[in-house]
Amino acid sequence: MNTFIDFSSLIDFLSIGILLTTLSMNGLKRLESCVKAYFFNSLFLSLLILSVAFLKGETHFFFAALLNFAVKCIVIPIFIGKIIKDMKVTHDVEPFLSNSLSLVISGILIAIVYSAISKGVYVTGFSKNVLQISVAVILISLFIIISRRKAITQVIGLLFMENGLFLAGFSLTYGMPLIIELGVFFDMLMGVIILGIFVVQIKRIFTSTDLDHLTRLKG
Amino acid sequence: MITLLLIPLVTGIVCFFIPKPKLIGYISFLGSLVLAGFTAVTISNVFSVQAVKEGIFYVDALSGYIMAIVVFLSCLATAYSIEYLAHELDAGLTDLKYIQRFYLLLNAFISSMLFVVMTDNLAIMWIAIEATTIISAPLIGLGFSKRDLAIEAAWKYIIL
Repeated sequence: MNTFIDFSSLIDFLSIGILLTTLSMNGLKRLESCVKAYFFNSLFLSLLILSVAFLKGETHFFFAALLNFAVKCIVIPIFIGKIIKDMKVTHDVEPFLSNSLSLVISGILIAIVYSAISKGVYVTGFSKNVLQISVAVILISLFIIISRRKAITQVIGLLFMENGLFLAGFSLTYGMPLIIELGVFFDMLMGVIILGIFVVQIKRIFTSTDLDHLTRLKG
Repeated sequence: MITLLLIPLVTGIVCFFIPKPKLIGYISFLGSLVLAGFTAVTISNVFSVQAVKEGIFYVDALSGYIMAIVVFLSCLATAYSIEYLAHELDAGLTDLKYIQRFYLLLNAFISSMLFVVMTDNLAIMWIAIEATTIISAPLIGLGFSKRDLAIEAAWKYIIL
């Protein structure tokens, strides 16, 4: 198993998969497909943790992979899918920028990240490519949060950003003790639930989840 | 050390089950005064003797300083909220359920704020910071059925 992971450079492939699923958020037109993109993103992340677990042979990585899969691939997609189904509004994403333009901007972001981090940063983790990819994932999901107007897409962008942060932390430090990861997952789950409640309330008060209506509080 | 975290939590849970709005406020104020007393003992110990380390807790002079600020502000907030919420209740803007939830969340928030400064472990500190965000978001959005702006403020707060 270890030689297979080493020879096929499986870790690099999986992290490329994480980058591509994040990039696909720019092209998707329906909210359901955004949730599916998040599902695949988290699946690749869990598989990456699993392959590192085989490489290092430590048991708590297996638990971390299992926990990651349970929370991010099962609980959160089902919860968000239920909210989307209950909202009964138009399921189109309606971005501020056209899909092709946002794809171009994401490509520029990836180029900037690769040119900025290629020199001068000594990476201590398991692969020298993963840090660039995770920073690119964070920046692209920030761009998605900025450029979409639906409340749900902002939540999904936040979740993608969390995946990128997790990837960056994991690639640099080989993960944290299990109890701390449990705490992080619990926090994240509570945050998603609270955001879901807010989405439903925004829908009820403003009769749509369009965040253009939230303009009365300005600094 | 852990008593400092447990006092606000217990106060919040007690407040959640009391059916009288004014009484809840007074109990919460009393809880924060007790908390201030215990914190004063710890802080004076830290300042006069040396930094205290107990399990995952570690309090030195700097965290003692910040703990003093947190506890002082929580005393002010609980004292002020008694009359404020009574006024809101008379105006019909809140009801008993919201007041109970408000004091539960407020006390949980005080507890998590103290946990941030008292812990020794960087990752646990990060979890506690996340917990303060997650607890204060519903605190901002509380009473959204009567106010449109509360939900907007809470959304902008949690996204930023």
